[in-house]
Amino acid sequence: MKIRSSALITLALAAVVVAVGLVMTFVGGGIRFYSQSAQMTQLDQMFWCMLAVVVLMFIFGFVRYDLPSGLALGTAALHDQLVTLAVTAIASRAFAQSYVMPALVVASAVFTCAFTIPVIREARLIGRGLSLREHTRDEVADMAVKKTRPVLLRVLVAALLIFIAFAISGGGLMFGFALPLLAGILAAGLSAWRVSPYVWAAAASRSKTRR
Amino acid sequence: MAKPTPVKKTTANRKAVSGVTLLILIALTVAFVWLGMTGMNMDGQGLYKLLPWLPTTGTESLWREALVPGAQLGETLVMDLAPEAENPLSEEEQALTIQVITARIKDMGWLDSRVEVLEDGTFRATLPKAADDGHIDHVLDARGVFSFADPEGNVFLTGENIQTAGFGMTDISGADYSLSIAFDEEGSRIFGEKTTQLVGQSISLMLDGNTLVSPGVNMPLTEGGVSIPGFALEPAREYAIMMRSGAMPYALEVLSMASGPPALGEGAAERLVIALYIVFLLVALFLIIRQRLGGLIAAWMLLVQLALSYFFAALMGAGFTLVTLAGIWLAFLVMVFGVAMLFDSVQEDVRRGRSVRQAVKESYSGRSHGTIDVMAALIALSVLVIIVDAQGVIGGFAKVLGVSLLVGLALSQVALRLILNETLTLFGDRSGLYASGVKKKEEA
Repeated sequence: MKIRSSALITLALAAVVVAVGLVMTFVGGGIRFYSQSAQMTQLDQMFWCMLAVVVLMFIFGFVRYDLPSGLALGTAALHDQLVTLAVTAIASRAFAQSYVMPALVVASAVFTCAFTIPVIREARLIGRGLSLREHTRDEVADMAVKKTRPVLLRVLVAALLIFIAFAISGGGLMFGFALPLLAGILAAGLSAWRVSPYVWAAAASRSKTRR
Repeated sequence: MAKPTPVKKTTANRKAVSGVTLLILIALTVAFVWLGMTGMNMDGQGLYKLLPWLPTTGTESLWREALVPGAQLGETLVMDLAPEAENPLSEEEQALTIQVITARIKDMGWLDSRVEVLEDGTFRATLPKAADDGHIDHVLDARGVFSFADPEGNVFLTGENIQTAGFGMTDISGADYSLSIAFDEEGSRIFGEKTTQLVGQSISLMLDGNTLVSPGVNMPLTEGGVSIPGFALEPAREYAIMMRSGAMPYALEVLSMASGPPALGEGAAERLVIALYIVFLLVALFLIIRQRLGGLIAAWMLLVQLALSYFFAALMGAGFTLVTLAGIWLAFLVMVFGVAMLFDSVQEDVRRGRSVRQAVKESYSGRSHGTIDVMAALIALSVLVIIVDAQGVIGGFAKVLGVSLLVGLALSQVALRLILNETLTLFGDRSGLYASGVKKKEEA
């Protein structure tokens, strides 16, 4: 399974951010909360929910579409959840977090679904209609990204507007509280355009070769 | 030679039906949104009143009774508590005290509260104003050391051996409540032995050295738990909460209880309400400019989704918190995605020469399945998260998100389709009405 180099680079960068973020979460001062009581927030439950999101996305993709789609959706969910948590942990040094943080980290699944599922669906549709002698799966993935970009850009703008509405309403404190939303939007946008279509392409090429 | 395609003529009768259908739907929407903003007294129907549930900026509206603001967005209750100790508490004792206070507050459902140690060593708990129910101080100031004693007053078991506790009605009268206590292994063994010895006598349940009840022992209780009747509702609830949280190093004295500003500052809720409605207006404006009549219908459906989502959030008692707002507005975002997918596909098909009606039909049977996939995946996810974290903040978010998504799914797949078809019947299949700058091949 050979994944396009740009996707690998993105994944590698994400891995670095996730490593730094997770080290800060578990080893350093941890995620900085706005009050001591918020330290009691349900981090354990958050990790279980994050795991549930990744597993369900994989199963949904596998059952609804096929194994490559399941892998792509699972990868996107894992990427988005971990990057959101890591960016939130890093940014919490400057912007304290609230008790809402675990819910908003898990909420990045909304962006994962809204951004990644259309791209994977489109890639499968385009792949069915094209001769694979003339086009590689990576090219099909490129076409899917290009085709879905206008719609997803509109959704991205709407998502950013919702984040801005939250962020400007309560000063710096509220900006920090809403930060996981922004991290989720950016992580999901990145994975939908740079990672998951090429994971799908690599997995689909491999399953085709095997057949 | 191919036969000419028969053109279906829309009769005046069918147009009238479409017009009436649309008028009824508009009237229902206006009435629902109006009720959401103003509420209704229902004395005539033998009911009390329907509270308004749509957040507005006015202070006279009662929506805050339906969607009770949390401590971050609404007025707060600030409680200062001092430990009843001769010497200042050590850091470990302070940390344990905060942990126990926080656990008790969380157990009461006030998740967005704040507990801190002030410089003089006193504790400050900031809770939503709604937490001031006349009982909160009893829960927070008690040390919470429970013990069981025999008739001579000898303690044989302490709260450290209590694994969990709950309460429930003893009988249907609703006047008598029981405390249900489950012990750990050691506690089960000791309690079993002691109740075997004390059959025919009584044991006392004590809190901080004071006897609460002394029920008789009719039989040995060796199952690892006990249910003790004889409590009123509030004490039973308070004792169960204290048993679950564990004990503090010292009891606390309530120094003051006062009203405070929201954690996010005065006016944060109003600013947030305005900012979110501006987001709605911007999205609606964009849709109307781009999709004209189609965009207007989409904006209508988005408004209905918001009104219904707030309604169900109020019914669920979700409160006006960041978690509730995140759930409602992320579901709104998914609906925006659905609408964008639908009209993008319609626009593409119209460009290829299809009629708008055909394009809508094609879109619902093709690309719109992407919307169903996204919503179905997220609804399944919400259910899974609710199972994992039913009582917590993530579960609370998932409940609001799930319900709002179900509303969005019904509106985008049924109501939007119905209304689009009715407007097509009423105003004709003109592509210019549904997409700006797009003309069918034949029209061009």
